[in-house]
Amino acid sequence: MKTILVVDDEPTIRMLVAASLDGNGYRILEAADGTEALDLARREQPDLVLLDIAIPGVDGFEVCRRLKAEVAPHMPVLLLTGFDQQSHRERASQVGADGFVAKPFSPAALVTLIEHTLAAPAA
Amino acid sequence: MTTNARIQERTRPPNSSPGVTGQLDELQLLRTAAQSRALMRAGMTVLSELDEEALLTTALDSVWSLLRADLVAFFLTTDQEEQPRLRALRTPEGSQIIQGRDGAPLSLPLEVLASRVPVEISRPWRTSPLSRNGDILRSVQSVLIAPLDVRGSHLGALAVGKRGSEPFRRDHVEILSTLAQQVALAVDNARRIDKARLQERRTRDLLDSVADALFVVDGGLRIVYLNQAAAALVRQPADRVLGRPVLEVLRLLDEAGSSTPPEATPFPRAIKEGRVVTETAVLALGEPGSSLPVAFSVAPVKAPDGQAAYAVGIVHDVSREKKIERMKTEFVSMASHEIRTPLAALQGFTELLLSRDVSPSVQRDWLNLMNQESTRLATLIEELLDLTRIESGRMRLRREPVSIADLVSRVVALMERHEKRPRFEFCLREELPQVMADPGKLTQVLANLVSNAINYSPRRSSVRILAQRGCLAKLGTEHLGPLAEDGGVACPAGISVAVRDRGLGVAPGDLRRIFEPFYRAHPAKAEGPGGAGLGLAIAKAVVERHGGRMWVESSPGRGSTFGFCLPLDERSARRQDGDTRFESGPIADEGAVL
Repeated sequence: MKTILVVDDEPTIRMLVAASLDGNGYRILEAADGTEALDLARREQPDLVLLDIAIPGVDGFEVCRRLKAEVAPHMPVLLLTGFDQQSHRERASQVGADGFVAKPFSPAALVTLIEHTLAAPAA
Repeated sequence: MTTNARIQERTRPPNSSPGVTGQLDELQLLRTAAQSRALMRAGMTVLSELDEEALLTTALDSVWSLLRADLVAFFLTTDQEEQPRLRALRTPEGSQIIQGRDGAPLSLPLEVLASRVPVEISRPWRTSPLSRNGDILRSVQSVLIAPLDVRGSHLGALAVGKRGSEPFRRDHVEILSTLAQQVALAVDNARRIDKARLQERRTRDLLDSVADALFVVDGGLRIVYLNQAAAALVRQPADRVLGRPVLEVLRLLDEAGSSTPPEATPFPRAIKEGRVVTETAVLALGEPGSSLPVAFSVAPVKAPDGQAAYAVGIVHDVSREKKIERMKTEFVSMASHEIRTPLAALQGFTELLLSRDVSPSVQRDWLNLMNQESTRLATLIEELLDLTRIESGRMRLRREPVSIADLVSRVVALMERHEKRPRFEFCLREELPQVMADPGKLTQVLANLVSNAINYSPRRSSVRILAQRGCLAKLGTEHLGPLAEDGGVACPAGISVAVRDRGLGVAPGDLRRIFEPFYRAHPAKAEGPGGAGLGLAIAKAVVERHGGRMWVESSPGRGSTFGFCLPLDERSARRQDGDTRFESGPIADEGAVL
């Protein structure tokens, strides 16, 4: 069973992601801020991280960078954001994110993207 | 002219050299040569003076000694006055420069002063217009008057008087005419220089009053003029900048922070292309890394040959505009981010509900979430509109006398049933005057502060509401730590209302930004209820629209005091509230209050 870490300070969004993935055979872990996300990722070594950018404390970009640099270079990270701006997309790829999901999103499309990312051979 | 005085025109002698007549002896020749030298010297001395008063004083002395006169007077016109008026006078008592119109000790008939040829008056005291001249004219037997003409215009007359009964000699007329010409030329020069100086000073004052920086460069791109604002812009005294290459003084940077090639900057382009160049750029300032966004407008000044001989440029500091632009972009970005989050929940759960069979209890959970998110979205949009209305000045205040005690009881009634069961304490110790305010908007402000106090405090903790005349923040009565306030807003210090909690408090770093739209301090975001972070921004804007000021004092872990001060006008200050019902509120547990 694949483990997915969902990081968002909005409980509603975490619930939506969990509900979207429900029934697809994933184990879901949740974190509300950057520090908690890094701790959980170190401990649980999830198969994929879905990470909101605008989280309190250490922001999503920095969490992504540290995940890649310190935790697991090949752990796929999908950045989730309500800021659908070119500059955010550029920074996402700079910090090594594997994908970019803009809010609002379609749950079905999100599930497809997660499956696709997990199936892709590790870079 | 019906006068006893003999007035006759004195023509200048024909232009004949002494040799032609053959009548002049050696003595006469020597005298003429000496007179010429003296005249030349006098002329040089007078002409070298650039100040009108100084040259008149010098001229009085020259005429006095050259003609052995007993009276010398200059009558001059001015820009404001067409009639010549006595300006300088020498008598045996001494010289004087006459200021102003009144009390001139000597006057002569206007037709004499206006004459364009020399005129002699014998026994001048006998003429009726002259009779009021008293002693000065009474002392002389004849007066010789020469016109002060220069460059075709008549500046007035030079008058010389003698005590002896002999008429003036021909060479006296000649000398006086020459001296008059020289003085007229000198006066005219002095006046032209004066006018030019005045004009220059006016231009300089005018250019220095221009609020934008102004530079003038020559064809070789050297700075030939800069105004005060320009010196302030480059942070150097003007005399250190004059003459230096403009490209050295105004270094421009591109967006990445590296220097723009000189030929691409506005001054060289305006000169080379011969047209106005307007553009925005980043100006590097003295210290490394410090820069300023500016807007250039540089126009070439063309010489008769059509080539740009100079360029004049205005450099306008646009940092304020840039900041506003950045804030607007940020606001739109934050607003759309805040809208997208509840929208994501609404859209996502709708899609899930439509695409799956879910149990009624899960359906219910999701619908509850959607309901909560749609309420949040509606509130957010309402707040966004509120804030935009206030900031664009479209919010109308319906001002009426508002009693602070009523305001507090209204807000407390709203908040008493809060699920966290707060305990309210009041400290409204003096009889407070009413304020002129919009009661609805003010209720919204206080409700926001009280609800924040409850939300960021533990359950059943106390929230204290204080109100008094003067500024509670300045009095330091509730001093909790650094005071954050908007430096640009003066404290009206009429009456202040504050809400103190014993909650989380705000970190000093967050304190500065807590009134910014969408700004939410970290613990507030993590532990408080969901909100876009617009409440305090709206409260602050409403208070400021009332002419008031918002402030906060806080200490992490100890709590916060948020307060506002409102101005009192004379009318409301006299109208006592008379309501002190909170005075005996449950404040005793605090010991000394205030």
